[in-house]
Amino acid sequence: MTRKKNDRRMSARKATDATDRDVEQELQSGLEWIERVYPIDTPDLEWFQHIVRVEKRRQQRIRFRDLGFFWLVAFAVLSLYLIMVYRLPLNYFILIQILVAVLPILVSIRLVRRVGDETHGQ
Amino acid sequence: MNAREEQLIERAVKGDLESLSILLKEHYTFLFKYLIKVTMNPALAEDLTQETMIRCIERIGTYNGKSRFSSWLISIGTNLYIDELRRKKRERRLWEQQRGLRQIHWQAARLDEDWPPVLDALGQLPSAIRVSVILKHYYGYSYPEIAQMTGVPEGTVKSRVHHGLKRLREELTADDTEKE
Repeated sequence: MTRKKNDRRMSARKATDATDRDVEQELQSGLEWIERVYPIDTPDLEWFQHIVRVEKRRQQRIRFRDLGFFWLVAFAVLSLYLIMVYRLPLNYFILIQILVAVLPILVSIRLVRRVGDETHGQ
Repeated sequence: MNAREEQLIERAVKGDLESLSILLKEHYTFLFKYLIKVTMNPALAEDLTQETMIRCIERIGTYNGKSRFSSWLISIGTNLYIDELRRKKRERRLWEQQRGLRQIHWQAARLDEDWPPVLDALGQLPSAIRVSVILKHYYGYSYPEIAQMTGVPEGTVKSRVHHGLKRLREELTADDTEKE
């Protein structure tokens, strides 16, 4: 009785495996069909070079901006700390804050000019 | 991976833009084809391919060579696709999916090609299951590799593949019964 049951289970399993293989095969041919029907035009190497160049430049700009922001904040915090620890007159603090405010304006003007030059250069 | 590709990767990781451009060009078609199969939407696949290329340029310095370069690109592309799905509402996702399928249908009709029924069944699978089934049964990746690519445990991948195949089998059998 148990043997018969096992045999039935085995044959059912074999049937499922066979169907799975059929499904896998159908899947393979279906996906190959998409590749055949949908041809892809790969852009030329110049396009990739351009994308890589533009993206690298964008990343560099972002890194530069983040670093600049970090330095400015660090500078402001450090100046405040020095003024409080060494009890420097208020004039020092005002002078440093003006510097902190003016520096990013100068840097961004330089950056805008450089980007403008690069754009004209292309 | 051949020696030339290894060399290109090594140079690209070190910051050589020319090698990176060549690498991207050589993998563009492969990636696009993979994303068409997974998304079943040519327009979305094109967007995702370009987005993947940009991510690759950003992160090339972090590529450690543990997996194949193509597998690395597949994992970036798959994660972008999953993020894209998360951002969109269910109705919009379904609508876009159907639009994509219609686009492929139209292309098939234009070329006078017969539409394989398995693609309809595949299109009805949830995206996460479809990705695992395609990676396993079309690209032949192992379960641990797929788990690494998709960022889910190996057991989840096995269960997705199992359920995916089961649903495909059911759909195809139902189709055959209807025909009879």
